[in-house]
Amino acid sequence: MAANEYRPQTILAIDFGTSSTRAALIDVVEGQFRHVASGQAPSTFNAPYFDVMEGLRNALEDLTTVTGRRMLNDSAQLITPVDQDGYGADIIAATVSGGPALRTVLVGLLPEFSLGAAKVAADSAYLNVVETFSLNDRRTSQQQIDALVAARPEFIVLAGGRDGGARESILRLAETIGLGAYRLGGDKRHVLYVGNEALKDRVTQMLKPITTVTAAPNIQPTVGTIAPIMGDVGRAAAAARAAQVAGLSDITAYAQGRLIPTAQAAGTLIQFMSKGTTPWKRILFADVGSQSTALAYASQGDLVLNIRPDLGVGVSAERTLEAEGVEAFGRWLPGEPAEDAIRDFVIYKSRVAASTVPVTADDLYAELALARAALRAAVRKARGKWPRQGPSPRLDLIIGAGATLGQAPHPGLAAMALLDAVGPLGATTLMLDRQHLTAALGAVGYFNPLAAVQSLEGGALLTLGTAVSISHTARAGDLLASAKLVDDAGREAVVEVHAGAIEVIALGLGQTGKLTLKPKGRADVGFGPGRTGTLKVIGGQVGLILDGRGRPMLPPRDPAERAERLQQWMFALGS
Amino acid sequence: MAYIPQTSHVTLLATIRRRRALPAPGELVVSEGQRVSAGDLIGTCEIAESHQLLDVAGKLGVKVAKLEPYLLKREGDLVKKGEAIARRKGLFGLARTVTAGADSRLVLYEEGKALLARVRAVEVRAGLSGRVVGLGETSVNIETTGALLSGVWGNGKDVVSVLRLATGEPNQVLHAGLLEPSLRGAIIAAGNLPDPSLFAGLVDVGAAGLITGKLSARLLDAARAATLPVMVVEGFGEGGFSLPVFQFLSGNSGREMWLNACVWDAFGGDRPEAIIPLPSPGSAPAQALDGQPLEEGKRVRILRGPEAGRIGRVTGLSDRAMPLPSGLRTRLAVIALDDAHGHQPTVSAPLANVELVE
Repeated sequence: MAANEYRPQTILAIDFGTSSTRAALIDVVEGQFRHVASGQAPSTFNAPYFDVMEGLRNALEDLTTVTGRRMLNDSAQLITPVDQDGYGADIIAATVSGGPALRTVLVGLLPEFSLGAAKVAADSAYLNVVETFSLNDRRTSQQQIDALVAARPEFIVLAGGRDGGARESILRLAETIGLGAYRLGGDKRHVLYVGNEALKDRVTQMLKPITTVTAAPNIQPTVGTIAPIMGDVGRAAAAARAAQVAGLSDITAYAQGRLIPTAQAAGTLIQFMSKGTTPWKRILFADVGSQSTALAYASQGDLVLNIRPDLGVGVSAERTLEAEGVEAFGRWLPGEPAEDAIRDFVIYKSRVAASTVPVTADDLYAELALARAALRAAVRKARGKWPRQGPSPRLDLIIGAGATLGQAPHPGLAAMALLDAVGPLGATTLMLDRQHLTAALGAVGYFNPLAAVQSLEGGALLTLGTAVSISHTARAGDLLASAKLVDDAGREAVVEVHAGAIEVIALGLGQTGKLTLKPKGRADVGFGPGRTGTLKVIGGQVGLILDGRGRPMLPPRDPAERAERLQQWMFALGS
Repeated sequence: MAYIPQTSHVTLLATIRRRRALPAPGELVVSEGQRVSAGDLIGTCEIAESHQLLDVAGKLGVKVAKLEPYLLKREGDLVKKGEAIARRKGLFGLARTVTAGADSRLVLYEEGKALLARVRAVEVRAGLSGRVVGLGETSVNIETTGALLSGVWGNGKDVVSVLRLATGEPNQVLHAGLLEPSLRGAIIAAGNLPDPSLFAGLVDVGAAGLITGKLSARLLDAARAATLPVMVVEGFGEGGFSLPVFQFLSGNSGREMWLNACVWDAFGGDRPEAIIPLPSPGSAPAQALDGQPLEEGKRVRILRGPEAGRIGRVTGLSDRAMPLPSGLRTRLAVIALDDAHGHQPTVSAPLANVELVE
């Protein structure tokens, strides 16, 4: 189907997260595709269900309550295509991120080539790499078999050998995998072979009796090149997950064989957005979930996906605290909570109360502190794969997603969390994905690109505004820059930005303006140290944010000073 | 739309069905309908501790297709260290021999290679007294009637022994002075444990296991390392048992208990728990089930917020999202709380913040 071909269809986009299952309805409204409504219910990956359909049925029931349109027939089956009563959907798109990350073993020839490439590919899927093997491995074959058995993998990636290159080494490694899988017994492991093309059939034949083998293009067809097989890895991982959990295979069939990892679907959309169809060329999508944090970075059509299955605000809260450290985590909390109290709260959240919601304001700050910690740790690791940009990333657009950010009660809190965690420099538009639509539209785009584009243009994402982050070495209170905004109605506003402070100029949703920034001294407002510049800015729910707090950003250690600063910043952002 | 929360069990009497599985393929030694006691063997299997891969064809200098006549041991055979598994006689009485490097089982011949596994026999016991009501390839379901208590954290160990309370109040903290010889061999219940050295103290006094209401997160490493099973029931930090849990433990003190302090695997369904087999009064009591919907009249525990840890009964459910002090909007449950003084103060809590207590 061509990108601009108009085919009126009712589309249901389903996402299976760890905590929640969501169903989004997209349909034609006054000649344009729009997101109509969404339904949501707790996911049912876990005991006692082990069947995602229960959660989906509840989410669809929620959707029906809102729209009045049934999605299930009397036998509780999805109605597709749309029936004569207007119930059901023509197209079903499905994404998945839920369930624990697959225990994965990576096998390659050399750490710096094929195994390294496999690691990069593994970062783009919901995989927990528990063991790696290569020719450089000092362990004997039998020790590798022991290690494979001890690792209990659910998913194995075998890479290695450029096309026409190494054969015997690959076959030895395949033999090790086969023997290890044989000793493990039980359900078949999934193996993804992405090595020497000439050996594809032989490796498949060797491993097929004891594993489920999928072959994809060679990850390293020639030395030094890495093939773009992120999609193959994601699909194979999704298929492995579908084999474990009831209901996912049925949904895959409804979705015409496409069950897409959530982060990959979101990446597809922002990759498209970064190609010149929107004003933003360097885009970061940051999805902080209960179990995992996914970052999709797109720069002029090039996409880098980085998924951290060990960082999140619910199930993974404990590991998030370990990654950030108790002291740094505590600096995002007002007051002076004891370290023991922080650990007790986080471990309780992680082990017992993963899906709970914050009740009080302090509770909310703790939840946002977790989101910051998860996102900061994820960005720290992911930045190594982004184009070099200096100490702080330069981003044209940041989209925040996940329940903690997307459903923050005050948009200013989400804006602050994004700025604190990502730490961009210069001008960045901030948006929130409140309805989990980025991944949904990315998946929809496979079937109906126009529906995805029009829904996006129709306000699927909430614009918070433009943030200008100033880099400096000034002392708290020193003048950093003066800012003059002339909005599209000709109104002027002038503000001075001081070190350590946040200033916000009112600029509403749909409004734009021209912002002129004159830095003092060597402060960098995005044009280079000490350089003045003018740029176009867009408004949003928060407005135009001028962030003089510097980078990297951590609140003061002193509790009284910290409480005062946090309150000032939140007040400035309208929270 | 029905909301289905997590369930924790503080059940005085229920029909309980639990799956006991071999960690690897092996042999089950019980049959459908058989009555078992906690210590009865239900099956055995072998766990491989290490492997040895021998290139038999290569060492004998024989093509793979012609290897068969030289094999002295078959798949499944046990072999001793140094024992020959294949031999090819040569000229002048010289022979090429392939020997096992350790006491092991020959598990596979493939493409001229032999895979041997140094194995350790594992026996799996029933863990609870009851009746076998289902057999899988490597697992059995055992059904019993009794009391059931869910935990929130376990250190991965289990034991069957008698339950005794070490503390007389729900919030009472265990200290060295309470570790009496009368606790020898028992599973001990105490409100809280303030000091990691008490784990060693429990072992010294001969305790079989520990159930605690709460435990500081800073003690979890010591609890993991403890040689006796440890289960936490309520959560982490200060405080002890909730009243219903304390009453459960008090009422069952002196009875045999299976303390299964496994690590909670929310995805797989394994949850730390304690089961006390009890005779059924007549007709079988209802099954202890998870996955029930939240409804008026149900007993719940609040998991988060100012009333976290409190238990009460649902008196209403909002059908619309309502605002919280945090600014979030969500559906709420109205709960009449249990109170030691007989009052029943009413509070509201988000649906996402309650669990059923059955």
